[in-house]
Amino acid sequence: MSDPVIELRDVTRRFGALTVLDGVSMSLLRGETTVIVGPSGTGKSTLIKLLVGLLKPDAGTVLVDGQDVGKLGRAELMRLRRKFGMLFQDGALFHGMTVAQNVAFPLRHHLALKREEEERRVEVALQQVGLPGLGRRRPDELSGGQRKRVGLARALVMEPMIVLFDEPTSGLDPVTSAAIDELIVDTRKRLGLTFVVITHDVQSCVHIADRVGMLWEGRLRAWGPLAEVTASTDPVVRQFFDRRSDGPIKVV
Amino acid sequence: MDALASVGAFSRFCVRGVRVLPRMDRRETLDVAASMAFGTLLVTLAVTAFAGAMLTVQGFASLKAFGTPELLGMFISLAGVREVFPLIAAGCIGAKLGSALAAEVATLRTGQQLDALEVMGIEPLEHLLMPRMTAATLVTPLLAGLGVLCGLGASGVIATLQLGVDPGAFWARALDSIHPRDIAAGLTKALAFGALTGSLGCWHGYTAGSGPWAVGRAANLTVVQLMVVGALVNLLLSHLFYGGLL
Repeated sequence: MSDPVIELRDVTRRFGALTVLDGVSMSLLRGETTVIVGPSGTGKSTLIKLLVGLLKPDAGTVLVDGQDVGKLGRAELMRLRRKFGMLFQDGALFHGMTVAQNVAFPLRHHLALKREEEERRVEVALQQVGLPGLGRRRPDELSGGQRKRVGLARALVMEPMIVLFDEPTSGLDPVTSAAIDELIVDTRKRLGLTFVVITHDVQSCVHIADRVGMLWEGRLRAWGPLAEVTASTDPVVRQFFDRRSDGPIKVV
Repeated sequence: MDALASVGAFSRFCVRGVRVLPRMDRRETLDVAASMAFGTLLVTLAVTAFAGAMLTVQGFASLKAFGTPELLGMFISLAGVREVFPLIAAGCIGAKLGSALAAEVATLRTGQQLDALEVMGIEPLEHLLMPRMTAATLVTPLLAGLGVLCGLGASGVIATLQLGVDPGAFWARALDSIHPRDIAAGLTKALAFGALTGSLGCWHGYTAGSGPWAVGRAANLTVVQLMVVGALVNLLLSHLFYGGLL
């Protein structure tokens, strides 16, 4: 069995009087794809921000590769973040730059590569996401799915240990969503990295996950291998995975 | 209490900015400064020229009523060069540059590009914010100086060509009334206003919420606070330079 690369121990995070995460504990294993699902507003985005230190927990510990994220100083945190790549919801690309410049951005800031080597790595990253030869385009000239692929290329170009995906299929049509799912599965198999995906897309979850955590009302309602969670008889889990409006999860 | 907490957070943000100054991206600073200067120059020159013309017409009418129209050059130097032209230039710079800066950074916040920088291990203060704050601080004295010259030039043109004031007398009195202290005061005020423009614009952009409305709110807050705080700082510096405090 793989060792845990990320551990959350009794993590609580509040925003004012609102407790968004309440005593969440989980161990994310190296080389696996862990998918965190749950209805909107249950703390999925907060959880991913805690992993990279964009937020600090009010209580509990977040360990990444053995380091306590909440206790790191600014410089140490910046160093730790180089172990991560992250695909943001809409790619979070810089619109004043070309696709190639966007993908090369972290390389230029962290590695003093020769121009040829930088161009080679950018092209490899673009090939990995199925967009070879699109380096000269601007983000505005790309479709939503292509922007996400470029975002993934940028996340992969520094050869990270862990890749985070924030709602990778949101806003995409079913065919493009399926293509992004395939890309995630294929990339993980080829590169053997640890993937953490947050989504409320049940179909996507079933397609890509090795392990699933379900958040509800700030707590970890279900946790385990995909087959185990999808077979759960918990009414909350059943309602979510069966995509029913009637049940304990109330639509607000 | 909220306002006090905001001032505290803004102060900490500025201190963090000063700390990263040695590691700031200098190339980005120069690129941004050039873009700011060219983007703001025309509107600053146009508005200060109109202000110069307006001040000259008003000043001439008032001085003529007292039988001293020959003092017009001195009046333009004292009122225009010391206060009106720099303030008008500052207003243009604040409105154009400050709002653009806040909107740019807020758009990066709402589009998650600021988060993306952080996750890539790239410090936004070093590579994005401090270059913009520094560029605004450096460009504002240049723009304000050109604005003052433009306002003075427009005054000269209106005084001599339209109002019939003797050119030699106008320029002699105008230039005699400008002292090194005026230049020092103008430079200090412009530097302070530039630093305020850069820091408030970046702060409101950096702390913008989510959604399109956050961008407009950041730009609006920047301009409103710049007007109020800028006028206050101008008053304090005028007291410092001309009120016998220095």
